[in-house]
Amino acid sequence: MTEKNKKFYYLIEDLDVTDDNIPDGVLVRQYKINKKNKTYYYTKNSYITEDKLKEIINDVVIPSTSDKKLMKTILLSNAKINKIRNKHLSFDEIPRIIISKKSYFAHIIKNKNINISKLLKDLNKIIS
Amino acid sequence: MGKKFYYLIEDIDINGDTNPDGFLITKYKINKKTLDKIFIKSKYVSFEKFNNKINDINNFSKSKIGGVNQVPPHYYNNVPYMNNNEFNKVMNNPYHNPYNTNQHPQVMVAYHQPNMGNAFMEGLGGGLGAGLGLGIMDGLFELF
Repeated sequence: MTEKNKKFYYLIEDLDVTDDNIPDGVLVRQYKINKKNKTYYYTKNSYITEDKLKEIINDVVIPSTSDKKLMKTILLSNAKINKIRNKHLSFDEIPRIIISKKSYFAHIIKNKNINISKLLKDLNKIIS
Repeated sequence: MGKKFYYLIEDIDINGDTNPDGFLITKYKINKKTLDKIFIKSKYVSFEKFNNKINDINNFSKSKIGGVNQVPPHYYNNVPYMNNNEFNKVMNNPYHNPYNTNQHPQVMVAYHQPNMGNAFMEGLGGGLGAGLGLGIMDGLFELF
């Protein structure tokens, strides 16, 4: 399987790097799912600053007339994220990109329609 | 009895030069009934700060018992690092034990960057022989 064909998933978490207990950016965990053996393969981690995150999100926002369901696939509750991380959710239900509703940066995404496929490409580019 | 926390330590590059700058420490609990990992918080700690913390712990433990060579035995229970394959086993199975020790380790170290071996050694100023072991729990607890 080529790198291009691999289906990656992304888990985005707040990260404080200046030790002031205020998140400065996000940790992006890239992983794959092997549905046959029900295993997650974490491939890479990357840190993205708040400014870079804003830049990325602004670039993937689509007009409000578009499908609003898209944004629901990104912001999830911590409980649901924990379910996913513990494999209690059907693999087909797992969104390709996940960020907590409680994230310090959730406001950047909230109420915005996100072009998921473009965001996936951007994240893939940043991480690879 | 207090809650039992686990710590997964990974190298991470923060400044974008692809060289690791410090550790990402993920703190979690394990629900004994469901065997679910309950992720609590992730924290970044620079190599320098991590190194200082380990030195503080070691110095404190030595001074407490009044002898440089009388470090408590558990401080010599090194925490060897694991590769990506072992890391993924740990992530998929809450009680996977990459070190084959009797007790499930509460601190596990994984490195992802190819040049991490060197950085890890430099970061700890003496590397795996620095007495990084169960004693590290004290330091990790303080970091959170």
